[in-house]
Amino acid sequence: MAAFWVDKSTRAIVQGITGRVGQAQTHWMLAAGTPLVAGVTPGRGGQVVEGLPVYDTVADAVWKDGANASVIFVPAMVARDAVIEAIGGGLQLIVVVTEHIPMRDTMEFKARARCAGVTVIGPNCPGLFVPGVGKLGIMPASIFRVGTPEGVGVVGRSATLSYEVIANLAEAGLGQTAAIGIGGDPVVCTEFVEVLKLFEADPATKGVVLVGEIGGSAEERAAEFIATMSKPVVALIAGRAVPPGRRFGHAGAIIRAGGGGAEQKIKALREAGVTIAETPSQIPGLLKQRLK
Amino acid sequence: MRHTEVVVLIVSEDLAKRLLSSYGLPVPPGQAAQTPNAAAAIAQMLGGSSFVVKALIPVGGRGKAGGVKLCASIESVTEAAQVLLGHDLLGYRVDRVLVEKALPIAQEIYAGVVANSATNRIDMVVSFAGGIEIENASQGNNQVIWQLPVEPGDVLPVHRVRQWLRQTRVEDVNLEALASVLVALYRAAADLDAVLLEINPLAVLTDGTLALLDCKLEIDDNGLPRQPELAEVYRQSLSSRELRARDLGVSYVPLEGDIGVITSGAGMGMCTLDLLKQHGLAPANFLDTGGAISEALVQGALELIMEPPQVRGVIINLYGGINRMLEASKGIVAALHTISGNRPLVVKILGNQQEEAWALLETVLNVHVIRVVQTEDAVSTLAELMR
Repeated sequence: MAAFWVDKSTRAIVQGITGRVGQAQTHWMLAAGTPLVAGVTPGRGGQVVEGLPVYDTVADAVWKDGANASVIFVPAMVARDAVIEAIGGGLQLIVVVTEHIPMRDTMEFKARARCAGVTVIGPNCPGLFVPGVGKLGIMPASIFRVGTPEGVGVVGRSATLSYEVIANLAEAGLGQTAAIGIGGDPVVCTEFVEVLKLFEADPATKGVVLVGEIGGSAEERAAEFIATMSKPVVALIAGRAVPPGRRFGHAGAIIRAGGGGAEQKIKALREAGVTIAETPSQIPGLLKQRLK
Repeated sequence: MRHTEVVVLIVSEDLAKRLLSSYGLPVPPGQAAQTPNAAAAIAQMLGGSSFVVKALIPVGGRGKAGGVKLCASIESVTEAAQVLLGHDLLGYRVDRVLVEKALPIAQEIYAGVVANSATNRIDMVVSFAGGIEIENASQGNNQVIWQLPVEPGDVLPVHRVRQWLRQTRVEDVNLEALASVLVALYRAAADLDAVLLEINPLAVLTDGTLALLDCKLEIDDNGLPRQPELAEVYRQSLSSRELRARDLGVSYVPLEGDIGVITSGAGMGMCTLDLLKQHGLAPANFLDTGGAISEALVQGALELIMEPPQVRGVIINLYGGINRMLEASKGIVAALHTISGNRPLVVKILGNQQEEAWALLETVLNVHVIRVVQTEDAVSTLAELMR
């Protein structure tokens, strides 16, 4: 049973493999040892990218190569269709890297994924990295400290800020059991809580770092679950200095009247027993104290 | 109604009503005017003796603030337009007014379609309590707000709405007509990528027919590529710097301080702003490059954020991943050729080809290269330089 959705039985495809980003990221996923078996780009069936066969449809990849997971890099306006095709093809894990997907499209494939019992991570996310298995998404492998039997789990909404946190942990000698980016949009298909449950259940994970930010109420919902967890959690909430009502790149990162502010998130997390870091570089030290 | 934190385009009332009328929805006859004379001419054309003149500003609470005027003659339409046009209302300058025929109202209904991110449902909402302040409508003993959650992407059949409306036990409204209006609103909201579509009031007229008197339409800006007409309206609403940022493919936020900020990623950006504040520095702006960093993009981005004269220093915080960071550093060098003044730049660049990028940047005057992972080091270096 895979601790973090992927293991040696994973046979992943790349939807949008012939695009510039899809192709480059396929190269880096393979370099990280990821079990990729094929790519899909409608109209490009028969090509070969990075040594992988390209098919016109997800169904072909399932039929010919036994695909059971997907990473999606297709353009925003066709992403809804790509996700629904992947769900319909019977894939069990779908990572949506594409950003700028209209919210109603995300809501639609989120609802369909729930109905089908399929895990969708994202959209607008860097995906997941599981040392020893590989990565589905775009997290740079170079920042991780691998080869440690035990470690910490990292879950975050923001990609690059999570990278800085991971790099800080690695420099301080803390390895990672998994890093999962859930995405920066106001609607994401997998939330903090679902990832925290995996970290809590995984015996190799000794502590957890949560990288949150202003906007929405995902951190507050996470706090409710953390209150029931046995493992220490350290959190960083970005955006305390951000004025209300302004958008900061992430569609989700905006404070509206009555919600989404950093202070109430920090308060909820503290009350759940979370140690709050003021800066990314404080995180390893705070976590080490909690792990003693 | 409260809804999600998605970023939206607020569509002006006249355009929203025009879009909705193409769904067969009953909007009052009317047209927008930029001058009092044009307003009078529209009233003349509409005919009758009773008109409404409304300030076209993208904000609620307009009626209470005096932005909606009932007029009993063509002359008073001219006067109302004179009072409103060119003046500030709720922080917005009124450049246009909407002149409509005033209709005889028997009852006011609230109707809304809300994309609810918390429940992942599209909520159809209706209230017969009337009045302007749906936000303050208390649940109390009598249910005042009726909500029909619809699975996103589903078609909403009229029989489902009819069945739902019967539960409200409202007797003095033609529920059949109301059901058709609500279904059309639901369809319009879906087609237009609306995060919120609110009709308040949806009036029952004295002859029993319905009319959309006011309308609030908020569009998800990620939907704009498939909404060409709205995309053009959005472009026209942007400042020249925001427009340049959009054309570069970056997100740009003007702020009030004196430090220009470029980061790759919004979370990293917000963290950088937090650290600036901790070090007593205030951002003049914030630019998120997104994931596709190139020489041209970084050059354009740096030129953009250094343009405002109040910018005294700059922090660039890039995590390139697979992007070649040498390209980014060439962009910085190219931009500095076009920018005058001796303002310090602190640059933290990590990713593919980082060593080559550092080597190039260290040859440039006023550029301070940070070779570590920690953003704190970059911010504290900048704080030193700004002293």
